[in-house]
Amino acid sequence: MSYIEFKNIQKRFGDVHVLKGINLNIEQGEFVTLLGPSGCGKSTLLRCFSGLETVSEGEIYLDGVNITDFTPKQRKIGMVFQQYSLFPNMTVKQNVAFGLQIQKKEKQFIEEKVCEVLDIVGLSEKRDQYPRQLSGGQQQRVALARAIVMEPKVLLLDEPLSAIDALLRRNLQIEIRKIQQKLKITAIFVTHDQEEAMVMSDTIHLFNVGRIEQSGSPEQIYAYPKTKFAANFIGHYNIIDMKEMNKIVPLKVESEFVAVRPEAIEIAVHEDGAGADQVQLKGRITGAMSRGTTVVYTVDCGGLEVNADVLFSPDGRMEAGQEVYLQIPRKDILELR
Amino acid sequence: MKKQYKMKNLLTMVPLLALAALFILLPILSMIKQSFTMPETGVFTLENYKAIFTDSVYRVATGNSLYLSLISTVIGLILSFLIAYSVNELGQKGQGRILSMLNMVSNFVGLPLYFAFVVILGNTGIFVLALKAIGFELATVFKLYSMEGLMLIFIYFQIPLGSLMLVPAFQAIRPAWKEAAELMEASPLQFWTRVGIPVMLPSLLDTFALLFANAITAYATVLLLVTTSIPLLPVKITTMFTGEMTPQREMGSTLAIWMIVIMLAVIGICNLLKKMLYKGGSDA
Amino acid sequence: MKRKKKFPYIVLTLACIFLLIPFIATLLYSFTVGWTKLMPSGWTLKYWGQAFTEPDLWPAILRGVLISIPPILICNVVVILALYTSVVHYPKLEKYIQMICMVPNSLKGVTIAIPILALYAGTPTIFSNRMVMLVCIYSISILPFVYQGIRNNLHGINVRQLLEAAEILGAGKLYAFIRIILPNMLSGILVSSLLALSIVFGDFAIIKIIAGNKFETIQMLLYNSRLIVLQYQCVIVIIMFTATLIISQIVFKFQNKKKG
Repeated sequence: MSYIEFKNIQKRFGDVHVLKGINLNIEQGEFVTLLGPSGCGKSTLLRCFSGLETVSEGEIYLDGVNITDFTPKQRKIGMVFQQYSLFPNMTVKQNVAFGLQIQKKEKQFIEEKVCEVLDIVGLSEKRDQYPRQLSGGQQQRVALARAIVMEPKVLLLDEPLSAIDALLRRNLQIEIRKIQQKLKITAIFVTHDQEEAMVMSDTIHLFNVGRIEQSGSPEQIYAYPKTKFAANFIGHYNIIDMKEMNKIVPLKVESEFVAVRPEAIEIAVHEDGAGADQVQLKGRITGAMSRGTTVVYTVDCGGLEVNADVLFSPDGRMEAGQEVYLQIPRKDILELR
Repeated sequence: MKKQYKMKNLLTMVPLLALAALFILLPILSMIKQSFTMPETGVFTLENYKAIFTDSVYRVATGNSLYLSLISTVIGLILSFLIAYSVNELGQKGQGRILSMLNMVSNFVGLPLYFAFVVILGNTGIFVLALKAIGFELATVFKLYSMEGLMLIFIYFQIPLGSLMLVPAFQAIRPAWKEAAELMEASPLQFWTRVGIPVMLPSLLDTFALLFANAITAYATVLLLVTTSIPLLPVKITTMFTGEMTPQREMGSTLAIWMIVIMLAVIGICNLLKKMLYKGGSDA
Repeated sequence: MKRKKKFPYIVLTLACIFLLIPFIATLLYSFTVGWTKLMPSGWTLKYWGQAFTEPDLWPAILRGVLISIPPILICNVVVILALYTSVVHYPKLEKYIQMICMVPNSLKGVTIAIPILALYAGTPTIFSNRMVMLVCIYSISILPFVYQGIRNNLHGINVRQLLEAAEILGAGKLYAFIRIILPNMLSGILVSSLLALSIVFGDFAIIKIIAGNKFETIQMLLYNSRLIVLQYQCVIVIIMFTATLIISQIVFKFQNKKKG
């Protein structure tokens, strides 16, 4: 039995069916990300787990115990919210101590514990400041401290970084991951940012309209999207309609769509003769866009538009209108469900 | 079980509802009922309302109240508009000063205001006597204890209120719009008539309704300045309930309902105009 | 800068003169012996002395403050209860709460007092007591101000998320309300209460209609003194005005501090 198990979770808000039968297992110490566009149900699942929302159907197990009907308090979990969830009338220290005080722990113990976690999140010297005196990033670190000081069984993070600007966000991503690994705490993280999910997670569960579309390690999800939605959401995949493709080069593929990573495609200026493990497409360059280390060429292959990434080279780039040959390794053509 | 839990939460709404029911809804309803009742006999009647339109006493009171409230509101609104516009043209510091002055003056209402005007323009007011000292009888053109006097005081208390309401409305007009209009070679007048005022229209109408309600219910200054010489609705109504003579509850109720109807009509018309004329939808 | 703008300065100068004259004249007049010519005939502090030694003055001011306390308490409690529940549980109800609370913005003074007087005066209910009636009418009159203050305050703090955070940390609903939400509402409650105080303090219509001379606030004191010398009344006007000004300045400061 896994540490956390969701069994056929259904959630309806009135007529809206938000979660349509979620089955999910999470192991102890794992950092799991629920990834998906807004409104896909990922936050709702997290809130159902926290007890802030009740499930319409299904069961949730934590450490072998059915917690479906438990109050948030009984579940022994910690949660970090989007933003501004620190109590504005309390100092950093008082915020972190809040939960322990409710548990009526000894003063000495609280003092030590609070110091310890503030040290972990690197905010010891801000202990007597009020939330409004801190930056957004600092506030979220306090929120993290306030959650982990309770030594929760699971740490829930509901888009904690979405209101923080890009640079700081990177640092916090790494920091949260480090703290999680150090404390060996089980964490469920919700985000709509696929890069963030890649950086932080052991396992990603990709959500789409109330269902889990695909689960796997970041590498698996990135390299082998299984559905059109996953390919679209994860990266800059070329999604090719087989009806179009078959007009040019017939492939023995059963699915309706295939996906090809732009960086898997090679561009040749002369016809090379496709190997058995390659597919070759003839086309004309219609556009080029520089993306730092790579250049993305848009190639029109007889009505089919394909993007191909080529490493930047100072020797010059190909011009629009130039005739090229795209070579796609057969193994990089992914069939989509 | 879940339903019960929810009902329990709704209990906290009860005090507000009770307060509103006991002291707004019930009194007004009972007043409406009274207004359709014949004095003494207690039978249903429309006579009271008929009296409003036929009895000259009530017609004059209604006419006076409407005249005073409408004119003072229109003039007050125009002046407030100019002041609010001017405030918006000032720097931050100047704005702060004028706003706190307006805020201060907006507290100057009712009795204190009446006395202040008596000091300057009353029968022995300092302006009146000072002008007399240099040989000019102010009374030949202006008397405080008259409709003009009332009008002046009403306009006086409308100005700070109106300005304070309109300043934010001016601030909502983005400088970028003005710049865009200027680039399209619109004159300031064209900008204001085509963009500025239409955008501000909801605020202007809201302010109009509030100023009107404020004017028509004004009591203190009216009571002291012109007690009986110029009949006005609020004083007329109150004397019917509290005066030394026997109370005329039914007619008083009718007049009170009549005044409320006038107020609601003005507010309703303002809201209707707002919906009809302001098509851009709210900006917020 | 392009064209030099004169228009705003002209408008504002005229407005300031018009708006400040009554006030300044009242202030000056309170120090004069008489003012029957172009200039006052002499200056005196007599009337100020007279006002401050007037045995009825301080009790009258105190009565005004006392009568405002129960309405402020009632109104705050009622509005907090309703708004808090709607913000936390039923956001859709807020529209209706607003509708109810804003009614006294249009129906004011006379139109609130008279219907209540007509319905309850002389009945055997507790509301026929004039003091109770006064408290009830004031509670309704200050409703819009209390409502706005508390609504702004509740919207300024993310109530739901704070409550959820507290709940997960193990706090009960009541505990979270007292420990977290209420302390954050104090400034809003204070501001709206002060506004309400200045309204009750500045009211003449309601007190005159409901209590007449039975409850002499400073407004009634001034009204009853209208046949005595004008200088004396000017002093009382200035005292009243100063009191209202102090209250409104505190409110102004508080509101600006919150924004900053």
